[in-house]
Amino acid sequence: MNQYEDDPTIADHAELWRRIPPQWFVLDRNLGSMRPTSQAFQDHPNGTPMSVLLADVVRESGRGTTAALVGHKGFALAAITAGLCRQCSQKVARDPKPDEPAHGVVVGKKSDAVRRRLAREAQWVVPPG
Amino acid sequence: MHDRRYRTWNAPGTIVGGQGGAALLEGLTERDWGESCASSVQAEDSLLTGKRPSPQLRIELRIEEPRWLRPTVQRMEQLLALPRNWDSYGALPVTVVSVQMALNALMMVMESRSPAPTVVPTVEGGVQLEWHQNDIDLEVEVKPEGQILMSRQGGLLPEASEVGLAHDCNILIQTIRHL
Repeated sequence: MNQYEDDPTIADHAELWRRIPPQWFVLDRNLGSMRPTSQAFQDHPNGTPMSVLLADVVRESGRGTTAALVGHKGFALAAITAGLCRQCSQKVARDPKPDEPAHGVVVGKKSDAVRRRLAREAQWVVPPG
Repeated sequence: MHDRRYRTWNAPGTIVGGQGGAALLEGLTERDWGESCASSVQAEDSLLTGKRPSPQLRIELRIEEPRWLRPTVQRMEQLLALPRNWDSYGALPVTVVSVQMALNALMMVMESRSPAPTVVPTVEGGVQLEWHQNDIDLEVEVKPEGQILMSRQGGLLPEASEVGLAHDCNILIQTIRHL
């Protein structure tokens, strides 16, 4: 994890997209709406940081939200901001992949409180179908 | 005290990692689970063979069926069928042990009219039980190997974060009563 530093070129208002499978949709009666579970904002089980897509980079490449969900039927797409992640003591970094130049990571310990906050403040970009 | 009718949960199933006849929350004695009520859960897990057939949980009750039980078990069966990478980010399959322990815990702490939890899988292969109502956010995470942690926020109860339930479920029982 130490290889990643927070990238100041990613603005606080920058959107970070995360695919949400249907198993992670939760009806929150306190909020009166469906939202992702806190488990949707967890690091990879092999210990690598949580993957996201940098929305600006996706759009710069002429793609849209549907590009993030190709091949993932039934999935929704949620957005959190880089600023929210930083408020939760997370680093936000670019991590382009050969097949996905918009790939990024959110680095840091994701306690239950952190995960809950990310889940509660996430916004649907593509809501559950 | 909560309704003790639902505290017995004997599990003679073929559970990978189970305890051969009884799946108990760590720290509880046989006596804690009572003797008058025979409930059981059986499940086949083929993780060792690499296969992932349709799972089936077999539950035997000698008590009135709690209203939360059936939807919860059906949901857990669905989660047991998830393949590796079900989240597209590399998540692991849900373990039978985590499902069994989640059901064990629910049978201990829920009353017949308690609201059913939402059950979600975790990336590590566990399950999480969630309630978000009555101004309370309650999450109970069951790790793949069966460890249980509880977090709650909101309502009139003090905040709790990742509290282990190995030795005392009262905090969970009290919280569920407030839902």
